Amino acid sequence: MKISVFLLLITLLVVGCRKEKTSWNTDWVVPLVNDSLLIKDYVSDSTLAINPDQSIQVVLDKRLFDLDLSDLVNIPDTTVEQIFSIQISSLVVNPGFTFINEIEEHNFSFDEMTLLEARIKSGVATVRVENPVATNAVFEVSLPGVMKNGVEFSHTEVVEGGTQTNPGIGVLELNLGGYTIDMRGVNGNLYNLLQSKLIVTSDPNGEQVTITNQDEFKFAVKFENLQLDYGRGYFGNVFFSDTTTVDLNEFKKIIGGNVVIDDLNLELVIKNGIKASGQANITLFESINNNQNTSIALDHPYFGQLLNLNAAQGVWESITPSELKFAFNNSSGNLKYFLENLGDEYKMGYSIEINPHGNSSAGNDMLFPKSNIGIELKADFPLKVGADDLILQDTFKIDFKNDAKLIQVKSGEFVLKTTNTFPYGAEVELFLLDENEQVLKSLLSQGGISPASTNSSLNAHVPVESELKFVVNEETAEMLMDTKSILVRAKFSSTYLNNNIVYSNAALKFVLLSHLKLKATV
Amino acid sequence: MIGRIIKISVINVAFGLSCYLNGQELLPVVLDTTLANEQLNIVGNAFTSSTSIRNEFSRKFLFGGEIEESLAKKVAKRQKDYNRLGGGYRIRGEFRAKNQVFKAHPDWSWMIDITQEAHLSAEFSDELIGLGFVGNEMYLGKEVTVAGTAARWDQFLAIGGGLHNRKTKSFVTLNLVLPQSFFEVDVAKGYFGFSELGDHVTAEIKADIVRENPSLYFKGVGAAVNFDFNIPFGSPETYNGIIGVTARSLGFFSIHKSVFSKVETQQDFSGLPLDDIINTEDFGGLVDSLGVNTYRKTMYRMLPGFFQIGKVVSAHHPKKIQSFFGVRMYATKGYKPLIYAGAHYQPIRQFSLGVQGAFGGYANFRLGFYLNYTTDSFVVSAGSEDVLGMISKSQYGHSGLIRIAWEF
Repeated sequence: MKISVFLLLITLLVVGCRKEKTSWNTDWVVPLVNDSLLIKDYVSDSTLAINPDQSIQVVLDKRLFDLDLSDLVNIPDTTVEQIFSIQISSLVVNPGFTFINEIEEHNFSFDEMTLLEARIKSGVATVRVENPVATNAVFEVSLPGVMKNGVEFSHTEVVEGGTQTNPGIGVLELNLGGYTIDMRGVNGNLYNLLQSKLIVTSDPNGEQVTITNQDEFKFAVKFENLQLDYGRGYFGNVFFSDTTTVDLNEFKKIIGGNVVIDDLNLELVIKNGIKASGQANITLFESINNNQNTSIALDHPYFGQLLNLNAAQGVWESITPSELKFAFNNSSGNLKYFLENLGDEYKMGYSIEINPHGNSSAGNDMLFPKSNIGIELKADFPLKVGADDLILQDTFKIDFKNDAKLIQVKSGEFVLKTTNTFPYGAEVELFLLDENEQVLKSLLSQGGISPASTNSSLNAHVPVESELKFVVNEETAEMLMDTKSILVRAKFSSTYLNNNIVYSNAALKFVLLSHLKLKATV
Repeated sequence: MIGRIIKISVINVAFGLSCYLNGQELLPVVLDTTLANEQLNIVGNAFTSSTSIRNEFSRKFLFGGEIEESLAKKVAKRQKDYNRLGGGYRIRGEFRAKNQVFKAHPDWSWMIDITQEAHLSAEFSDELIGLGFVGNEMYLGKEVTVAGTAARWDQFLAIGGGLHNRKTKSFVTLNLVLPQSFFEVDVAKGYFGFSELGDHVTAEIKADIVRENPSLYFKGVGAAVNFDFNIPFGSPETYNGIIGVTARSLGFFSIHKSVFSKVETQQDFSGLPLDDIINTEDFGGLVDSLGVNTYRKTMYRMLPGFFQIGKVVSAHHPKKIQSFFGVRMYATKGYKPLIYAGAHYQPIRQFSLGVQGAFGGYANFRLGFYLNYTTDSFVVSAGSEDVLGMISKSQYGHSGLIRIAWEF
């Protein structure tokens, strides 16, 4: 009897604790994204400007590349070692007695360059001195002709005594940044020289000591990482040649369609900021559209020709680079087609030669802190772009966290509300991608973004409101669990094919709302 | 339908018999003042009760299933400005020895007891139920208030020992409490505002959330006392009047290094900037921006125990019908003092039954019923403090009680 009762209890215990899950659905309307794309935001970064008629002007001044001047004037790392000793067999030295006072010249080894004067932008000289006598010695290291703010470089170091086999050692690291170096040597008529002066004095507080001609006071200096920001001399005949590539990754998102660009005005400028003459040649300027496998090389009558590049004018802060300009517009060459190719990759081939005719400046080539050599792209034209089914697509990582199981999206819709004052409209399609970026489902919007029309005063576009809906049915909602990214594909078309003026009130304001039925399970 | 009612009834009773097993502690004790031998007692109870949540809704959580949209909306609509909800179970086993402990008090002996208990208590506004089970769509263009919402869940094990009086059945035990899980939320300020189109949400929340530490083994420690003091009055032969003072799990405990989250935020949200969506892979920064500050803190709380005082019935009373009544109070937020009164009928020595009415606690009025069967060495009692709730889905609670005693 008692056993039966307890068995009944255990049975009920097991049955009573078993329970299926509880679930319910809730309806939520929540804003997800609220943002706006304003043309005025791009006016402030000097890329665009507003004309008096409120139309937008493209004002571009972009440096395509700069030549590294360290390739032009490069001081290699150099180490110089010297040994000083007295000229007589021995000498009894009293405390505070100077027994070495020598100036040495160190020659920098340049191929063709002859530097008369230079200013160090950065770099160090590491000095190592050895004291072979028993008492301390005072080493005074100075660099004649190396000046900063009118003061010659000088440093004093007390080095402990030692022996001939085990000398006392002192190591100094000297920061040469900001120092101007007269490289003409002791007599002022040479080049590429750096002087050093070493004075060795016995310890003023030490004892009398005997020095022999076997005692070698070694001096080594190592110049490392010297960078110049000023140089005068002859820089040699230097030739640069390269093909540089500029990637415009944003354009890789354009996978189809066409644009029509009107009223173009573009300028390519080679600038020489050093006081040395040269020659330049643009060999190639090519637009490559990798999505559509098209490439167009820009035409210009001077491309491929060796053109003279004058020396810069002025000195120091007033240095004015010389310019070599290549102008393009709608009526010259193929610029329109070059740009309408919408290349995501641009290749530019060039060569620049400095001093092609040798030392024509008689050793007066100069570079200053602001000197550089480079190529700039300048544009100044009204923004009039037509779009014809221009397709942009991009992928965004997303995780709906449906693995949490507590709350899952059951069905619903995403609603995109827009207010548009651009002369461009769009249809939008979303693709749900799995972890292997395979398409699970596509969601085509119900409705599209309408392009705006100009107002009667022809100085702005009239805002047009649109609503796009993306319906998420139960089948799609289940796929959200496996969705790891969303590909957004938008197909743009302009109000007109040509001459779509963009005005200063151009903006796309949008709010993305979710209206979802969520299933909670506990 | 009948099968469903039977199933619900059986399961209600089986609350006590199964993992919800618990007992007669909440129903009138039939006091037998004869000298007891060694005893093994198992008592248990399980209950849900609410001022506004009907059984048709709460049974979805007890037995599972989908809460249909129509039911969720109906329940949301029925809520009042202030609502209460409680639930839980207690299983308590005790062994009472017969050995004499004190020479001067021959009736006193030692005992041990062990308790497994879980308790949920909550206070909430009507709109919280609407938000949680219907969503915000029904509140577009409105403001929703959830201020004053408080909820707490405790689960713990208590082991202890003490003394009992073999004649009066009074006892007292001191117990070591080991918390197993704990959750508490207290919303001091809380409202949401939804624009007509759903494109704008405002929120102001000031709330504290406490969870137990994630350690598998040690979550805290505490102490509790259980006691029954039966004080007879009237005739010494029959003790026809007995006042019972009862406490279970009356004590406190610490939640060691609990995860304490303080939420203090005022939000005006119309959607995130596109860059935040595209460039943010870790949304931890967004959580921080919501004003959630989480840290570890050792907390101290009262256990969800109860104290009860009232008249109890006697097994040897000369009359077949006795009255009982009393008052009960839980040490939890949301539990209002519960007053109960009832009648006990004992037609023969082996069998008795009774009915009671109760008002208060987590609900309003409830009707109770119980049965006792006694042999020389075995007692089984079963009952419910909410008889109507056992059979009706329109009621506001469930209750199951059981007591099994084996004397040897």
